[in-house]
Amino acid sequence: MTESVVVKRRDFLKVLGLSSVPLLLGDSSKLVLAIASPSQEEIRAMEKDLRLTRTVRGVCAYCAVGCGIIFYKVGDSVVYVEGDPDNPINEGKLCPKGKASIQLFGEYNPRRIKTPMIRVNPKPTVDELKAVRNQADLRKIIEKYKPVWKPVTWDEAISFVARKIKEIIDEAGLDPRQEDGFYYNGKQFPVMIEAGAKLTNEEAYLIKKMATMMGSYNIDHDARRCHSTTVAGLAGTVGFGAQTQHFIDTQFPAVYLIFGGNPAENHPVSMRHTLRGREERGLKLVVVDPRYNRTASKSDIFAFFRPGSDLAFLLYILHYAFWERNPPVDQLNTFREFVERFNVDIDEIAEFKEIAKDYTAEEVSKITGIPPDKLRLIAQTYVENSGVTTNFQKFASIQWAMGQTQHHIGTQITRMSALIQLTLGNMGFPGGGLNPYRGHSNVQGTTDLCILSHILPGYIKQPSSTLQIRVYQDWKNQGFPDAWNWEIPEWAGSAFGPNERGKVNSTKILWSWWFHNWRRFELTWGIFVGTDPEDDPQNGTVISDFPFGAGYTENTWWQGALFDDVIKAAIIMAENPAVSNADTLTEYMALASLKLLVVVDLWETETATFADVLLPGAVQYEKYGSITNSSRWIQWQDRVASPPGDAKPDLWIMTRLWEALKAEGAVRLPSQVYGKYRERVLIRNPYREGEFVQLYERKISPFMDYYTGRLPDEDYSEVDPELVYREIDLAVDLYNGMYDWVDRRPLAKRRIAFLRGESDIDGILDRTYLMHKDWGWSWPKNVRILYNLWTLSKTLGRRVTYEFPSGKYAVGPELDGKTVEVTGETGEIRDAVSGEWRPAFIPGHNFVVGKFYKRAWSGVADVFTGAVDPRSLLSGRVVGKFVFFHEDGGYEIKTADELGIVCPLCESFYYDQEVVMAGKANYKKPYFKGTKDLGDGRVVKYVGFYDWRRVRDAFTSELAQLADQMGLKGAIIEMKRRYGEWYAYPSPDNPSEIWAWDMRYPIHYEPAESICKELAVKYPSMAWRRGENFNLISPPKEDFRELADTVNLTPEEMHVPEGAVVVTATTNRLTEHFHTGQLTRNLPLLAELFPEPFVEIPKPLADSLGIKSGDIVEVGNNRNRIFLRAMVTNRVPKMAIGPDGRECYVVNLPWHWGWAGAHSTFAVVNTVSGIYMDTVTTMQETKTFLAYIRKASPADYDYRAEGEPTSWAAPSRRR
Amino acid sequence: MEYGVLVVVDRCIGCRACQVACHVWNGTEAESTEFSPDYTNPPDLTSNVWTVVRFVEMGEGDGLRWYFVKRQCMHCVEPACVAACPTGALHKDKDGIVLWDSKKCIGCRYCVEACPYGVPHFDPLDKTIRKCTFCADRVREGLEPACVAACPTDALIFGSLDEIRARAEEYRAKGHPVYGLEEGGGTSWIYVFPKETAPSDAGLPRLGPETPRERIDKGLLALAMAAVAGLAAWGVSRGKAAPAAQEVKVR
Repeated sequence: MTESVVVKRRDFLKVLGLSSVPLLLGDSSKLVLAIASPSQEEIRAMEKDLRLTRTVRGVCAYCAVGCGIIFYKVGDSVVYVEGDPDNPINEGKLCPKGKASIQLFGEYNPRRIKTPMIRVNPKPTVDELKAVRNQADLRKIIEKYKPVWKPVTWDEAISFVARKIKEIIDEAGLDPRQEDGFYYNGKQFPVMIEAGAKLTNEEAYLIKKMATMMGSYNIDHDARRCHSTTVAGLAGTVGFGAQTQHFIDTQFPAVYLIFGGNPAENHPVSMRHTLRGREERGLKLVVVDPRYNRTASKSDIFAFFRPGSDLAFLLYILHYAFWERNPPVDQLNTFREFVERFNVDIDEIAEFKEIAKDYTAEEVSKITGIPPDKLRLIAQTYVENSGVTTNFQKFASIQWAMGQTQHHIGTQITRMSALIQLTLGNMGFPGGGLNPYRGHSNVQGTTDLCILSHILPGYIKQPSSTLQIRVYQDWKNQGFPDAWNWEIPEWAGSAFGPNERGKVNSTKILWSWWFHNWRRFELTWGIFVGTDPEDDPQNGTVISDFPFGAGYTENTWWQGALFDDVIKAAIIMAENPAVSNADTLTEYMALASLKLLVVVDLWETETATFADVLLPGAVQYEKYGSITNSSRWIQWQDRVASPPGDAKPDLWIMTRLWEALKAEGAVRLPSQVYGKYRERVLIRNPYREGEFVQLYERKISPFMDYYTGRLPDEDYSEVDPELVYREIDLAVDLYNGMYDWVDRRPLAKRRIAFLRGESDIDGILDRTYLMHKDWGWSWPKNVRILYNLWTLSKTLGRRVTYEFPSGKYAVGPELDGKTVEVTGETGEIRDAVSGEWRPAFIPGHNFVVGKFYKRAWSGVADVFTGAVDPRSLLSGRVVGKFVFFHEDGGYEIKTADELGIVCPLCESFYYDQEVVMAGKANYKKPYFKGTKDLGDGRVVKYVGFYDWRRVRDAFTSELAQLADQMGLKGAIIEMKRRYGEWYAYPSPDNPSEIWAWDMRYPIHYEPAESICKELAVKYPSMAWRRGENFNLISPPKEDFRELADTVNLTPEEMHVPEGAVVVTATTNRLTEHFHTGQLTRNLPLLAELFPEPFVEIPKPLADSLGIKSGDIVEVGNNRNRIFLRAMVTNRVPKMAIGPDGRECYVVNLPWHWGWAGAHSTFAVVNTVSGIYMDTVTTMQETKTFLAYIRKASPADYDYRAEGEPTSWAAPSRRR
Repeated sequence: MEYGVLVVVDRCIGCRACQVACHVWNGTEAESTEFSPDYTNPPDLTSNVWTVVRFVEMGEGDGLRWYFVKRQCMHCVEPACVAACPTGALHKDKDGIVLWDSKKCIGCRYCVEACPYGVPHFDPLDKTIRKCTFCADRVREGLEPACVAACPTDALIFGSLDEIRARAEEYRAKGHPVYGLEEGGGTSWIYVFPKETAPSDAGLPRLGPETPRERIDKGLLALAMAAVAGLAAWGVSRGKAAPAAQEVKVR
């Protein structure tokens, strides 16, 4: 750049009189640089372009912090990108990925695929892949079967896919006509759908809706591999599996424990707030991690620990609190007050205290490798800055990501974090709570809307029996009651909660919430779930357009393809499991076994290597839609540019596919097969036995019509995302409220960065803790701090009241006409009667509230007062009918208009003290209950800790003995054979009763692959409780028996070549790259920073192996061998662990590389990681596995930079 | 008014948003790089990479430290490059920004040799030197430099040089090592280092308070020695700067 350019550019801006307008920042560096000394003619051209400069706002497409991003456009060209200065999350800042993301657009990125393609050559075969044991083997196969593509039109591609899927469905012979009703088994569907966390909320919701209506639960997404264990662990303990604080709030903890996360690298902009807290508020940053990462570089206290020893470390914090601290925390009045207020059972704490007793600093030091003194320092720092020890003035908080989740006991680890926060009074406060940071821009949204195999959108139960459908029909006949007004019929038994009206427990409350949501789905999807006839729930024919059961997950589907022969095809959208799946060689075999694989992506990915059809998709910035960040804030993305060539947004692709499948006859709902086309909405007259009142009738016809023609873009004319957004608001209670039905606006588009006034709803909290409640919308009911019940009253000492004038709001007698005290964050809802905003959760937000509710229209009206069809519901028209019964048996039907109801679509939920206090934290949570008959006269009984402790030592010593004889793998198989269950041992009282640990509290379990055999038998892995894991050491199918040889549970079981040392391996991500690398390796601006794959090796180990930085090393185990660059550093540890304090090394493997795209290699890190799955969610244990490492020859390294052509630099630069 | 930037090393998380932001604003191409043994990549500034973050790892165990120091043109108060430029292509403007005029640059590379920080790089295609412009085209329009605007943790603070110097003094009073208040007569980019670290650990040359002009007055030998020392410290071992260092001797 010359000075003359600078001057000219300034003059140029001045000429236009626009230099002070910040928007014009978008005057395109490219544009100006293109003109070294602009002529008059060129200036006129620039003037024209500048007038055309406009900005498009959205949300960064990488991680889930939710940074606002602004793109500057001149004409159709995107010329510049900057952070959105108005967005309170990032205040104009961006990390390198966000900043480089301009290179994702087709105009800069020649690698983007632009046309649909069908493969014309053969694919790799299962048998060839089965023999792969090192990266050179893999390379031979992949290169032999390099895809040859035939470009086709969209019509050709879509009809090809639809025809093939129809054939495959027909071959599977699916039929909804079951012996006891009309429904599908959701796990039998032969097509697996994997739809990534990069989809917008609207896309996520629709793909799950489509799959469900096709009869399939074989649908899942990458949240399974990232935070499924967070969701399960937290939801099972405190209600919702989500971050309870938000990013701005991470400046308020007194102590912030980063344990299992690395925000400086993976959520860089979040550190803006955390470091602000450190500098301005004295926040202490404590980092405990297997490596000294960029977050650790900012820590006040740091400790290395051995990956896989997470539970032991966390248990020590409570050991300190209960057993070392004087007085113990459970003797503090604040503690008692807290657990009482939050409904924690004191007996449960006593049992858990016994567990924590064993985890002394000395014992935990042997497991974790953290010296006892440092453990004490960390525990003390944490406990003494907690709610119960500071009278709720200071809070310690925990942050994590994959470090806690990616273990076979990930659910237990995240749950343990929640238990610490519950015990120490750190839950539900600004500055105190749980902070799982999520990885993909919309992974929270795709999780909430449940592209998952086991739940419906909004965490709603999928039915599993016809009894449930019958009880549901009966519930409908009772007038869609809330739990307090619901009378469960005697014939339903006790599984749904207390049968008596007015009596509730959490089971009953949850079922009424699920039923309410099923009803929402029925009305918005145009489907039917119930009995025919409607007035005979007990004997009528069960028809359920929801399939039954749960499907395969992303981590189990390969067994569905290879072992169970169920999965024959797959559609993979915006995901690259060929790099991201653990033990990837199994994934390759499954992909190769398919008759049809459709991949929708931006690039020709590693997964596309196995595809039959490759469809060009759109990046988030090329879409319209809503995006939910990690802390539940929903923001709107506007389209910045059209995707390149013929590429299309996923919304367009999936709805086109739906139409084609319907045309092929591949969509056959059970209601259609039965011939149920209308539902009579009947309400039982409570005063006349057997009499029903028909409120209205509605049409049953699956709804997928989102035409509005509102948007200018051709590919959004058929499907308007804003219409889908409205449907989500109506269909999914969790997201209900994100559309404002009174002012008719999506609140995700709200961009008000001002804080509220003190007299506004939640105004004091908003002002004090910078919640920014008018920026976007946050679930539930715009709440920003989950479970906030006490901040106003306890922490701030404020008394705040709210008045509910008589008859004004759709609330019950508990609130109507009363003035109530508000003690925490209430959130807000549009009131159904008045249409005005009012506080939602009274007096604040305890656990599970959101799932628990009371309904002002309980027993008298359908959900939203009813809808004749989905289309009219979406346009705001409801039936609007209420029935009021008189005690003499008479009744009258009134309309919403007659009743003066302003907003029937706002529903009539309200939450009072009784609802709030019904929420209970599950301190105890048995994951296995009851008994299991072994069929040989013996019974397995799942028992609690006091019983388990009586047989524990006998169990571990028998295991140790067997492991000495036959190795650990053999010992596990033998123990499971002997006792019919894992973690089980005969009862000392009755040998025919086998006691098995019910997992009610977290205890330490060694990882499936442990570096220390003594620890592996003292604290055995829990993996083998789960069938899919047992399949790994004992494959159920003859063809795959040799898979068992790829498992190495201890160093002794590994084939270790000469000159190699066995280490504990862990994987992680880098700031500059994203997941499978496709979104970053293909961007030259990011590839500059980390072009090549590498492994971080502790210096003492490298020295002993003669390895220097830059050398090529081999990392391998029984699964595979890969070759990478060595990075020798003291930032990964050598530590002493086990009873004898033996040396243990940790190596770290960033996993961003694969063979497709720029900067490629066949050294796919996950081909050496293991796929031991979480006992609850099937999460894979990629954070710790065994590998050996040794020096290798440079000839083994196969990295290719592939001289990326950059279209980034200004065209004139090289003129 | 002269501009300045304070680099607060304690706040930097090494994310390198600055490095990318510099490319995006200035339209410079990404370099084709290779594996770097310590994350720093490219290992040195180039004619396309006008700012680069240097990763500094020290010690082990509890003494382990890792910090990140952004490099770019220091926009010296009395720039050695300007003093060395025979054609006046390089010049320091009233606002303290050191710029060059490519029409006057004859590609002699004296500035490359003279700069104690190894900043100017010769572009073989343009046949001129190139370096950080302090985003003159932004700051003169009232905007922050691109790197400052991007920095997620406010490790870079932009302001008037007087204000920046005052803030640096405050940090120094609190015991932080500071670089750029006096070194080589002072710089517009001033560094605040974490306590218990030294600027020289991050490769910043140990310079006395005298300006290049004063040093030139003391004779060419002193200049050459200072330049060699500076270049060596800034990463001669990485190869690229080595020929320049030899040329100094020839001069």
